Amino acid sequence: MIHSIPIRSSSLIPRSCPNVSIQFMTLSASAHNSRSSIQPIQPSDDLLSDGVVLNAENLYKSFVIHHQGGVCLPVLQGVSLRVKAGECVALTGTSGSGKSTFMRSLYGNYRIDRGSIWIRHDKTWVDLPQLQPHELIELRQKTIGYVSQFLRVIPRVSTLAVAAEPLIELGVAPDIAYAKVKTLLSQLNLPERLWQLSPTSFSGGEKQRVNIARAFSLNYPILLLDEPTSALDAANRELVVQLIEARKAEGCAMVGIFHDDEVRDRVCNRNLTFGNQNQ
Amino acid sequence: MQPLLVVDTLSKSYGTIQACDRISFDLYPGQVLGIIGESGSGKTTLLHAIAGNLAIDQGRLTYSGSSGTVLELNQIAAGDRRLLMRTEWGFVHQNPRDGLRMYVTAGANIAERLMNVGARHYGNIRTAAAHWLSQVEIPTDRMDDLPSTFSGGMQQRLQLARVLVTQPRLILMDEPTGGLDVSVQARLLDLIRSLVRTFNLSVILVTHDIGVVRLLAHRLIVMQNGNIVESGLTDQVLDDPQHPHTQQLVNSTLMP
Repeated sequence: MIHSIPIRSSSLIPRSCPNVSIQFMTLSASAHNSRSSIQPIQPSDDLLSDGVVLNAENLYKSFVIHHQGGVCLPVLQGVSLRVKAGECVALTGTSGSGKSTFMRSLYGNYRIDRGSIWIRHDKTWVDLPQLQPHELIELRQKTIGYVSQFLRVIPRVSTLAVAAEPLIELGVAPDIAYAKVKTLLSQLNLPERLWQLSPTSFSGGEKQRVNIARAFSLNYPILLLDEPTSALDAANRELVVQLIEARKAEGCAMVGIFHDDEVRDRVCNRNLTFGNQNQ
Repeated sequence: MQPLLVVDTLSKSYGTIQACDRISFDLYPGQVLGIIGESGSGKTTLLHAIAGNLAIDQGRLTYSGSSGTVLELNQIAAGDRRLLMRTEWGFVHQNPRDGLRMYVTAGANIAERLMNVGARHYGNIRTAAAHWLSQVEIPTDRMDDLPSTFSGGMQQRLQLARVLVTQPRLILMDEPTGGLDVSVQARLLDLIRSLVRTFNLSVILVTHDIGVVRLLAHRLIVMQNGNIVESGLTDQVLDDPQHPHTQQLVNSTLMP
């Protein structure tokens, strides 16, 4: 690399709540070093022999809303989670307790204020918050999949093309990619007459299954599931649960938010419960 | 992986107005980098400075050429820079009139760029023109028509074909979907996206349309008053905007 100039705007922007930062400066000084000064310590191989593939330590995340009087919402205050291959952890807690913020942080969608998120990627450990943009893109292409509640697509692109995109981005030949997602879409009971249409006009449940097909078309070692069955009827929910169970059995590590207790009890090994710290 | 282009502390002022103030970023192969900001934020100046259309006051532009050579763009001869613009780089203007010759045929618009780099065989040039017209979804039987008879969306696609014919590695785009109907925009976005993937293109895309960057850009830079105020992956910047200006831009979008 000739010159790498990561643009860190932290000097320009208050990224965390001032009152909270005082509090966690003292907390973190002994437990954990801030990433700006010293490189966090890479997980030892003991973790790996235990099958751990994701190790989030002491995540802090707050939101400053500048145009509403600079209101500051400290959402995550020192959350940690370790997940092993083949394990599924449910994030539980009331609305607003930080489940989604935590999960989005694990994907690098939200940028945490401090903490580390060690991910087993390509036979090595990487700390997600420290990655350069192109490295994070690669991590998402190969290692971490995300089933979002939303589906954002260019209006005229067909369902098949949308679902096959992650495979094609990885360089899989289009005919193989399409064959794979056709199998998944049939498994998920999405009518074949919809496959050539853009999913923009689909119902919530149909869109959700397109999202699931996208994320399950690859064998990501880690999958994040944001209410993957929320818009599905009982029969389709059962299909998705079976997919999740099968993928778990193959060794995929999962973290998910499930508002459906029955689904959660079936697929999850344990819970990480979020409390509402502001109450 | 080596960055394709490194922009290092690039500055450009107009009198007392600092249009670009020490801008730095790098761009990797196959990446689409979106630059957003309000009118007057300096984003278009930055694009033209990178293209070499404007002299810069300070800074370095380092480009890794296709032959493996590393070029310091402000140190190479003006002729070499122009050659680069006609071969490995391309520029797509907001107004097709700035990127096309309106009084020669569509085919000749494409052929011109090929002939600039030495192509002479009429048959080969015509075959190439037809090929690139079809790549951008323009019927090849329109090859001998003037661009002025094309719709706005077709003119934009013709600009793309004209640039693509030399198989560039980096394309600079200034509001390529500006002024197009929404349905025409969707088609152009889809086309650009598949071209980026097929030809492993890198793109720097200047726009004020947040919907466009959401669907097209891997990474995003937000500019205000000549400065980069925030940057990151597109979903990071749009879902977790941290700078007051970014929050304002995202929150004032109807469907971000």
